[in-house]
Amino acid sequence: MKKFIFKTLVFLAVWLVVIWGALYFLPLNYSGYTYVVSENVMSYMKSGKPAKYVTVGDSRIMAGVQPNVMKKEDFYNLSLGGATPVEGYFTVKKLIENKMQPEVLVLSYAPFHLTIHDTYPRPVGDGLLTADEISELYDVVEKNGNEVFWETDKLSVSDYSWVNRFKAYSVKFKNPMFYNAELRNSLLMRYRKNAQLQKKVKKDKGFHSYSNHKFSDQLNRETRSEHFEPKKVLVSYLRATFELARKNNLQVIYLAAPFNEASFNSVNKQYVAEYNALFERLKREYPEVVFYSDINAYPNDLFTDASHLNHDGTVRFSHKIEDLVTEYRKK
Amino acid sequence: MLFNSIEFALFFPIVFILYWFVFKNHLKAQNIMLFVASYYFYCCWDWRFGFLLAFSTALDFYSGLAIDRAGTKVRKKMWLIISVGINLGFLGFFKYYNFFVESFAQMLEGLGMQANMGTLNIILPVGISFYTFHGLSYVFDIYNDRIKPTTNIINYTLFVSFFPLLVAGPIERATHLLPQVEKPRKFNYAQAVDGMRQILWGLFKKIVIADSCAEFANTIFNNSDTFGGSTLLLGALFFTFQIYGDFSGYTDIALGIARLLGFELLKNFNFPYFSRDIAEFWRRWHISLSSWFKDYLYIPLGGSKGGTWMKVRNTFIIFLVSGFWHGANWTFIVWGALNAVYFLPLLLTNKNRNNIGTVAEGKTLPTLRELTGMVTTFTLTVFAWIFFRAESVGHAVDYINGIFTKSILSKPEILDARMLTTIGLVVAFIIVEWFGREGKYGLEKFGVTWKKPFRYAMYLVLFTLIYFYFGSEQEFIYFQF
Repeated sequence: MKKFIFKTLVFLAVWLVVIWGALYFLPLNYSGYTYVVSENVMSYMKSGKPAKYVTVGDSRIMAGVQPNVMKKEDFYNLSLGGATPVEGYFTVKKLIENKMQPEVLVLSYAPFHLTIHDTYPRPVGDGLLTADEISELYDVVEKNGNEVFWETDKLSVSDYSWVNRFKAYSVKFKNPMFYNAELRNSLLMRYRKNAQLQKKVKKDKGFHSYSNHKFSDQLNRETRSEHFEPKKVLVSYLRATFELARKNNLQVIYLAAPFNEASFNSVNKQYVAEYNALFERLKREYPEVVFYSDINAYPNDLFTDASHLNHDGTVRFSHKIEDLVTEYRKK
Repeated sequence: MLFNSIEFALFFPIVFILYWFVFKNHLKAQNIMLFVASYYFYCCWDWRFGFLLAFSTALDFYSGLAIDRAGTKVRKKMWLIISVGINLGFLGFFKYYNFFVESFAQMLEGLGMQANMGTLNIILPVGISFYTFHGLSYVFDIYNDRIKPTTNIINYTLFVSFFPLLVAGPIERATHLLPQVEKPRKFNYAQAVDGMRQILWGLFKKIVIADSCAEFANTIFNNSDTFGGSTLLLGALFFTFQIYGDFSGYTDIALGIARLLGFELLKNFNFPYFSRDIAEFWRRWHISLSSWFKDYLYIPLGGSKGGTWMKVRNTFIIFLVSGFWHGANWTFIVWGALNAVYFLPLLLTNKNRNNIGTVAEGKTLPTLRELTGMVTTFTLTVFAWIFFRAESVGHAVDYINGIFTKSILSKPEILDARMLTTIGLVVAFIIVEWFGREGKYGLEKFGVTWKKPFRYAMYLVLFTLIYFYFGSEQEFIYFQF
């Protein structure tokens, strides 16, 4: 009996060491692009060379702002795919803690990223959040009635906060159960691709595009909802970001990335009205923040998919941001 | 609670430790613990059905005692009828009520009559077909004086509800399992190691083979009108390996778990896809159900001893009932009838016992004759599985018509890297099963003579593949039966 249990446990231990070893030491071999982008954000924090202007937001900004096409200003893009104000807050906090505070912070989230986190909780798995920050986040979640905001993924599916907290730590510390699909899909063969991407993202100052289709009249996520129902946790982190900026004299420009025309024409009026109502309140609460939060549109031929700008769209949007910042500086 | 779930991975080690360490050398305590664990396992699906299981168990236990103590044949028969009637009544209500109501209403409408018959929103208790048949075999065996009833209700309850076999078999016989429940069990290292290998192989079959194939089979069957012949054929092949991997994988896990607890359960699969004719296939597929029908239905009906008409009648009855046992849908009945049609020529020409032993025994490759037999039987089986998987008979007919078009020669529409990976895994699986076909399960003898590092490397690879594919688990197909 003892021999049987001993052999079984040794077998499982050897297997776990092999898998954990791969997960800890070979992240570039199995991770997707989000790890590369997150890692770029983290290495920027340690670079000691703060940019004058920084953009923080979700994938629409990550793929929509190309610092290298800016003509006059020194920009860096610290946006992450699938990010919400939770990731934004911790990014800004890290900028301040690492003495990398920019002169102006351009902040932007797609409206639906105030209502749901649409992808795998990348900030945890990709190492953006420390264990203490995860703990802090779940304290806020508990204060907000244990509101589930990472609801489309494996992390926050329980009504019990401690379960969600435990899952978040599990992902942080590379519990193999959360990584089997990535290992299967990659077979640890992504190193070359990720290493190339790593160089490209660094060269492009955090910009990462999805594809280069020339046109998209597909409808984005916002058009699927009748009502704009923001999560308390996400809005509280947006407020926390503004508070943090206020405390540290950091100027914030809040900007809405454009929809494609097809989505703009299809989005529910009620949804837009409810979205605008939230931002009217925020404008009153944070008069020092410059808001360009109205939902706006670019032509369909500037989009590569329903949500993201293509190369031409990125150039146009980047120049727009540059102009806004220049205009702000003149004031 | 699925065998391939985190919950079970926590549940079983606790049971194992309590069983072998805390209650060691206390048979009664071990049996009570297993009985409690089995009911917990079952009630994880829906605690209300625990009462149904308990009622069915009590009914058969007391019916068995009453049959044994009945003084006259009439009283014996009366108790048998009560037990069988109530058991089949429950089974009929939960499984077939809506089917009969709908079919009757359709028949009336076909005759031009108005039918206002309501169906009920009935949830099928998981495993009802299996534990009902467990109980029935016990009562039949007592009635036929094959066994004496047990007077220990805990032992009987454990026989019916033993968690490895409770929800999807094998359908055990009291003559086989009850003596094991009643005797003290000792931990046997070789048996436990073999059990672990069988669990590993079962998990591989279920998680890597069946669930991967299920993804493609579901896509193709659910959108069959949009695909050409070659894709539809691939869909049928994927389902063929899905159902085998799913059910035989479950059985391997169940048998392996039972071995870790010192029990030997009945073999349920014996490499059916290497059968050389349909008769052999049915001696190798879901063996515990086939033998149940043979012993308690086919032989009492006269078996194959009567004239031609009787043989035809009995064959059709047993295959139709077997089809109907699988589910309340005409597709299962057609599937059963189709197998009867396959089987009858062999029976009528006395060729149904031509292939008894293992194919190509002691050899690496089969003869051309054996290969032809295997390919023909496999093709017939794939064809029959289409009815088993289809939503309706019409869907199955359209599916088959879709296969036999010119597009059968074209490249499948959805052949991508993931599908090719799955095909590669299925091919590897077939090779291991072929080389392991003389054992109790595919991995039993595969690699046992290799040097330790190679053998353990093979286990690590299998375990890693299971881990890779874990997480998209689908419920075992046979849970619905």
